[in-house]
Amino acid sequence: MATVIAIDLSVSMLRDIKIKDTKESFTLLQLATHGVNVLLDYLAVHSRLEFVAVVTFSSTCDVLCSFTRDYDLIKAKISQLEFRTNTCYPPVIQTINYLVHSEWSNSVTCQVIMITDGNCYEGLRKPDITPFLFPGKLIVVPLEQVSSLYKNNYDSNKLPNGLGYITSPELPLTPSSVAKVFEKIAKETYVPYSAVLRCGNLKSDVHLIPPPMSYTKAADFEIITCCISSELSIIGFLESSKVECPATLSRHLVLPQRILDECSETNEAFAKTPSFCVLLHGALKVENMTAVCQLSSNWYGLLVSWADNKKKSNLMLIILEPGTNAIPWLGDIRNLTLSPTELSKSDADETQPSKTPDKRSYNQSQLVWIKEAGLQADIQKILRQARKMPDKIPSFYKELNRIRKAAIAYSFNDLLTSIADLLELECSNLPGGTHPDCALQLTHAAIELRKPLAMDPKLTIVPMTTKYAQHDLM
Amino acid sequence: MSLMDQLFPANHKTTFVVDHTPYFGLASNSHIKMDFTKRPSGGIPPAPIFKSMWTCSIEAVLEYCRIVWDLFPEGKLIRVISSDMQSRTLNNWSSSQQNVNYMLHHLSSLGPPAKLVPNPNRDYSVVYGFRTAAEAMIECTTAQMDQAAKKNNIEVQNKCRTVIITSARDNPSIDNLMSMFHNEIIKSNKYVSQPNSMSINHCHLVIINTYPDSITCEVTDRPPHPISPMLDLEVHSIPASKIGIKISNLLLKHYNLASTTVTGIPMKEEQNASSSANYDVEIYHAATAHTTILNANVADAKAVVAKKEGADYETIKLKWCTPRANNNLPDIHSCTTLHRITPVDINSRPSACLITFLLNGRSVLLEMIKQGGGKSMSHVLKSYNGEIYIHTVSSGRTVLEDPPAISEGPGGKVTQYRVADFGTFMKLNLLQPTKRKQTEDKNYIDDAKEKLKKQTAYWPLITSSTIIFNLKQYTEPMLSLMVKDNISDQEVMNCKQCIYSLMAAESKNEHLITPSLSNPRKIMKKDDQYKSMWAELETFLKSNLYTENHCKVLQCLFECRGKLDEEKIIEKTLMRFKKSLADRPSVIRATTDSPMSPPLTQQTGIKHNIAHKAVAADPNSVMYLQIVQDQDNRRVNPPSRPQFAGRLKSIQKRNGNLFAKLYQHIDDDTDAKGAK
Repeated sequence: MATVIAIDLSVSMLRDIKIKDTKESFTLLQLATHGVNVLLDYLAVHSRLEFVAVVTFSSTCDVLCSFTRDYDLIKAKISQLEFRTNTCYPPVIQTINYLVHSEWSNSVTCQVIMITDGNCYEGLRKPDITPFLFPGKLIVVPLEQVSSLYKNNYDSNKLPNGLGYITSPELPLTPSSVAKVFEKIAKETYVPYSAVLRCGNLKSDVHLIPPPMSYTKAADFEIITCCISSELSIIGFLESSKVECPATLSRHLVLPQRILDECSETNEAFAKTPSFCVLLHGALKVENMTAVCQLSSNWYGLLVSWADNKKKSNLMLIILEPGTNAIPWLGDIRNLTLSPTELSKSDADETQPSKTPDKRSYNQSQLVWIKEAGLQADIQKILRQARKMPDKIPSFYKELNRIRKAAIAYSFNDLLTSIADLLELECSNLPGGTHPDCALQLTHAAIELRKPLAMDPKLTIVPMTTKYAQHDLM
Repeated sequence: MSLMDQLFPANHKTTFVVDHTPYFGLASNSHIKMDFTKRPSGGIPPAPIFKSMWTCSIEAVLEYCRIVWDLFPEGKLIRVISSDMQSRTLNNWSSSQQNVNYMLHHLSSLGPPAKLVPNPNRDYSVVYGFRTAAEAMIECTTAQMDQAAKKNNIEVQNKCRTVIITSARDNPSIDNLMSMFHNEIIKSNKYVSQPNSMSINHCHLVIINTYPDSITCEVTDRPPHPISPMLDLEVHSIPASKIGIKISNLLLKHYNLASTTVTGIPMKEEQNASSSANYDVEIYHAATAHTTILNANVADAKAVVAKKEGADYETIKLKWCTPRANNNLPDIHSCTTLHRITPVDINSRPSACLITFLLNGRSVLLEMIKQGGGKSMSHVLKSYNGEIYIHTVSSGRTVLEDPPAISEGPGGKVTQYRVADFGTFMKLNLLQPTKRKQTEDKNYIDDAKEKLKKQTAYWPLITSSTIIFNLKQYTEPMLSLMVKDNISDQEVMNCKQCIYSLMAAESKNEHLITPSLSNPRKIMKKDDQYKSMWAELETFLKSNLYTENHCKVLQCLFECRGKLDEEKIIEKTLMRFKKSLADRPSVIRATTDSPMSPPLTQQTGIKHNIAHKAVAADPNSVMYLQIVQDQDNRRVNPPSRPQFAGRLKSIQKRNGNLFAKLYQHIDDDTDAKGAK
């Protein structure tokens, strides 16, 4: 998962907040920086793999810091922010869209945490606010001294178009109330996902990183919403070559769970306690295989060994599209069965990927003559074969009948007589040394094409039996 | 697009009404040259030929069908209706009739439009097709019926599209056709009868007005606009020879498709095999395959989008990337979407070459040339089972960068995992598609999970925590046989043989484990080795008691070791089989029962006593088991006929006779009345 933090640098953020009963005072921006630091400290402990980027905005939006795991670098950069002009939201959304897309393409879930002034209640509901082009949510933290006028006008903190929601710190604003709201966001957003990885009676407690999201899709007739259950049940194995390049929704590291304990001795002991997860990873890697697992009643995933570089390899969960047909060439996943233990070689071949019952047009000889060139190419083909008779007698007649059948279906009657003309012309043009059978066959075919019966779809024109050759009748 | 449009798309049901009147038999006046052969100088070239307007129209309709069914083998249905003196339907909504070959076959028998013979009784008209189309549209498809039966929160909407191909004189005649069609829909909606039909909620009507190429036409194009809440109208006026192009343009909108042109495909010249030239091939696929490209940098997207020549849509040009090695596919997980494709010019030589290349199992990577000249791989074309797909490849970074290695986590430092054994286990549990369809009571997924469970009932993770799995020279085939659902008598013998050979080894005082420096058990005494081996074997056999035959193997171990079955585990297991068989005679796989044994019934007690009495000899012999079973069979077998109800309630008297009170309920009744 990745996070973008957007900090408002408009002049309103310059406002001073006096802390009651003390002489201290902070600008809103100082409070914002404080909140971000709280968030980064939380990530450093609980979610070290999180990538964070920071953008700053006012009337324009700038990328202060692109995605990094170096949280200290971010802290250093946000400590020296300068004020700009007024707040303007649309450029922020655009900049973030571009930033996320150029970095992650659209396959990564991205949280956006925006810290701004109280104007967001109104500003983020304007019609020129477009939704994000990547999977993710916007969390807005408004810093305002008094409860916003707008706050009561909008009965919910939800933003339109599923953009996200607004969560404001408790009043009065103090560094601790700001810290509190950021801690709350961090705890709700960066939850490690615990699950049980199971294969029969073997099991292992694991964490999924990043946490898997529930998935909603509007298909024909129904809206499909799927959530991953806390048990990943292996239902069998496949050779990796059979599942090259499936469509994947997301991918997650599957790490064996460790009980958080600062004591190094217990950690040492954990490292030495056998884990099924590690065994599975080793075997998948050695055998170059993939495990298929069920995520919920209608959702499946693949477990593979994956290496970022040569040294560090890991178990990875590839989440497929929900539904039982996520890998179309394997057919319905519910129709996969475990091979009987003693499967003979011939049986194994037979049960391999089920052939699709009806072939696609490009896989069968269908004739399309919408473009002139398509028809001309087909006619040229039979003329080429005509010249090579008697060797090509079977293919000439096969092709001729194919064209004839298509012409009948399209009611293209003129074509047949025209081809008859062409064949006769071809016959009269034959060079001297041609086999005599060739001329006989050409004349025969031309006569057959001119008969009224030629338009009968049940008829097949067969070669003329001549004294020259006993060619195979079709 | 609104959610309702997304949930109930108009493209689920499309109806074509094609004019088959004598007018459509006229030549389109767009000629096709037939001049192919060298002829003697001065010879007259063969006359060009003309397609009729009917041929042009029906070709275009079939091309529409071809593309739709190539890309969506299910769920996008099309019907074709012809109309002359009457209407005729070429196919229905059932999936067996939703294919081009079926349609071609039926078109052959339909034949060309009739020659014009004035008939005072009945006119030729396209209008007859309207009622048939409306009737087709109210007819439910299988998918619609399934959804309606599910009773979801959202009521199923019947949305559809009708494309009429005809020839009208002017705009008012088009309006006329539209209002006639509108009336037919309203009329049909009145005759809806559940569950096989459903009233039309909305119809998108497309009228394609066509005419011979040589004349001009007064009908003007109209963009889609609403006529009534249930009807939208769109009009296109086009000469007959261009219908094909027009219809494929409409198709892209109707099914939300996009076009990709694969550029720079190197191909050998037909005439001259030694030289090669570069060709382009255009393909259609779902538009979502382009989302990633179009959402990225605007400038980069502009660099690849081009207007398609002679058409009013855009195509994205992606460069063919000559495959270097066989295994240069992107990572398994970097493909985000997958869509079927179909070539636009199916007959062209470049298309055929690309298709053959893909169908032969090779894959093609497509590169996007960016504005600055940089390249990035964006898509992969690949075929599976004779179907070709376009994959979108995620070009971004991965959030999983620099992850902690699994070896650094819990269990990572353990080196003695039984990796090779688990490899064998995986190979024995490969998933394969089956031809049998699953039924309500047969769930392959649960079966598979159950099977995996049995095979892992006793499965130590590391080599140092097991002895029997390290002694395969002795313990195989027993280890692999015992985890099976059923084992034959012969296989029981084989298992027993394994136990005997271990016995023999013990009596010869052989080393079970060859002492070696690396072996952590080297310190263990020979006696201890055997002791823990026998204990482990017992645990293994006890974990795998699925049938009587499985029990026999455990019994054999007890006999060999001179050990009593202290927990009566065999007996309990056998009882469980008996009980579950009696309880559910239809279930053959009694082994799927929970391992929690049911409480002992009274019968067990009886059997127990008898067994003890009858066996004066050694309770640890095979005889013992045999007798237990025999008694079992005799006594416990369910009686061949159901017992009389009276006998079941009877009380045994001292003399051994049974006494039962008859008509008990009558007595009770009278008692009750008396009390009143």
